[in-house]
Amino acid sequence: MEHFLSLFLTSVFIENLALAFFLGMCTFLAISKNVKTAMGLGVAVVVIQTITVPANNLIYVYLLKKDALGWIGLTGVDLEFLGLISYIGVIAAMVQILEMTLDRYFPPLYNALGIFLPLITVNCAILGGSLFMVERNYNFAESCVYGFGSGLGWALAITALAGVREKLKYSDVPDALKGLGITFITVGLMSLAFMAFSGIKL
Amino acid sequence: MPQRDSLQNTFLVAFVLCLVCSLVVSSAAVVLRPIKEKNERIAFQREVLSVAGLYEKGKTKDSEIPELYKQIKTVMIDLSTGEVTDAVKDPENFKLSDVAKNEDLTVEIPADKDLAGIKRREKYTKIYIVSKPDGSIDQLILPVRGKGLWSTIWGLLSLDSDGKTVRGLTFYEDGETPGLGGEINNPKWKAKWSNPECPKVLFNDEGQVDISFYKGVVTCDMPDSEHKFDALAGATITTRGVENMFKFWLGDEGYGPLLKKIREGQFPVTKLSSVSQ
Amino acid sequence: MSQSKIKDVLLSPIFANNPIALQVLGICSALAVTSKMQTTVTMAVAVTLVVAFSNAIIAAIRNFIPNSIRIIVQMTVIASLVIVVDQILKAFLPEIAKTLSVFVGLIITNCIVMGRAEAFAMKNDWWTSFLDGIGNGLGYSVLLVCVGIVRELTGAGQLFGIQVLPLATDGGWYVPNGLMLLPPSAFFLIGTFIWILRTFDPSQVEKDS
Repeated sequence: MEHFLSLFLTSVFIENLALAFFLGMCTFLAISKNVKTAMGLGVAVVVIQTITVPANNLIYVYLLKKDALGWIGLTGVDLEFLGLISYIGVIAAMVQILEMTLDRYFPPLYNALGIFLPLITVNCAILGGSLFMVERNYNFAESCVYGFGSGLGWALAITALAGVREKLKYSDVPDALKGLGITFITVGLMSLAFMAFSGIKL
Repeated sequence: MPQRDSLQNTFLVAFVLCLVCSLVVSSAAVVLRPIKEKNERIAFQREVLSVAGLYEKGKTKDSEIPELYKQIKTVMIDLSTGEVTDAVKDPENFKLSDVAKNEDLTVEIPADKDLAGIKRREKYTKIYIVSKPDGSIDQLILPVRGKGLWSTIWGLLSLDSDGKTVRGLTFYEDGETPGLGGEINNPKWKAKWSNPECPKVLFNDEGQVDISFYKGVVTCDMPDSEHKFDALAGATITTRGVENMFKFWLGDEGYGPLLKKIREGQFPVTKLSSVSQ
Repeated sequence: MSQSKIKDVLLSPIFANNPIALQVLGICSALAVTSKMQTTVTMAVAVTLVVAFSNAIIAAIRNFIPNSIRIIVQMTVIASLVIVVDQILKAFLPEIAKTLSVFVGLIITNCIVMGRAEAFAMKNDWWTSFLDGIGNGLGYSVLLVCVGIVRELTGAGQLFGIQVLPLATDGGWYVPNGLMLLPPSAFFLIGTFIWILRTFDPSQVEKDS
């Protein structure tokens, strides 16, 4: 239990996907103008991340890993090179399925999250989560925790940035820095603050 | 040709696309695999040779590596007893990075002893031996690994035949910040570990692991300088990772039993000549 | 196609319409790999090749792609190209491939690649799209290389791993600024780059919303 708690906290704070690994930056910068939309996107990322990381874990362990096809009698097959295309396929499919399910059964939620879902397919944080899961060799339970934790960390970062940007509206920024420029610098400062977590062992 | 958006065409396009893409991807993988494996093998052999001091960067050509590598003997070790083992079926193709991921070939490390942060360690491992012309051991090269700041650092440590003096050190895979923690691969820093005029010893006279990292430059005339190492500036966590990595691998869970035997002169040196590559 | 249009398609993304600075595209990978020039240049070349070829392929088959599976078709083409690039890197440049680790794979989700496929390649012929891909790839590379040069030079006094400024620890005069090697510095540098770009070209300044 302790192990999972530490993995969870590590993935939320210390190895924050957005601020320590710069994943999902495009959406991170584009959709952080106000807190409400940022939170909507954040929730969508948490949901997708929690589903796709464990799903990709199963695919990796039972299909792609070296000798993984042992359970149907094929040994010595190493399909690891198909990893990238399989993970992105799973992600795209999951996003689509989630979109359709929400539309059919939970229309209010669909209206709130709907516009963000297609954006998520191309969010590097989602694919990055799966790739890190493979690289760090997480097992199924760990990948569930990691998926949820890393998604939550990303959501936290984007909500915080949106909060800062809302306040920033009232400050007098040099013309040429307005919008994107100052946002980059803000994110830099946030990332500097998150550096303080680095190396903490739980 | 059917309508572009018809169901038929959708399936047709999807099918053809999948077929073409899978052909391209698989043929790339199949064609490149031998090159990839060859390069990986040479890269690893180069690391082994360089930690043994047999490879000079810029001077030794890649084509000479296989020939030079013939000087290196390997032997499979049971880590828990420190004995030579023949329990591994195919020692030629033993690949530590694959074994470390395999639950059947590793054992769990108790959390309080897991200094290196690697959770599981292999039951059997391959160590590399450089022998003197008379067949006795000159150097022992031991694979080590442990958690750094960002990811696991994989390295090789070369020890003298006394089982405690460092002869060389290299890290062949790490994800540390370039310029800070990444300096573990700075040749100048690594050279300090294997300076013959100022040897570094990893165990004290009682046979306990004795290493510490010192902020600043360790000079040879400092008391206890053989147990002190330069810490890397701006890379506290990486340095701590390296320290813990050594404490773990030299301890009872790692190569401790093997090194104890060697220090007591019990390692079966005579077997060496019969061990293949 | 007229000479001037080729020039326009190829050159406008480099400064006037830089994908990173103006369209906020493809920054994920841009930041994490720029602490060393070697990885920066490898990444820049890889992205340029992927975006050029994916654009050309998608433009060539654009009239056959059914609308309903448009995105997944683009994704499949891009992912296949990235796998090929990844395999080539692993085979011929194993050491650099190791440092780039997951970031080669993340080219798939690099918004430049997807963005150009959707916005340009679906509407133009394959040759124009190919040039557009090269142009956008170069625009991305220019910014990446700028950031990379500044970071490696100030952070370690090196370029391509060769010592340019003699370090104080080795008897020289330069004391490296470790912060430049840490991730946040990349944000500051890109922010500054945008600032400079927009000071010289005020038409790109964002209006208050």
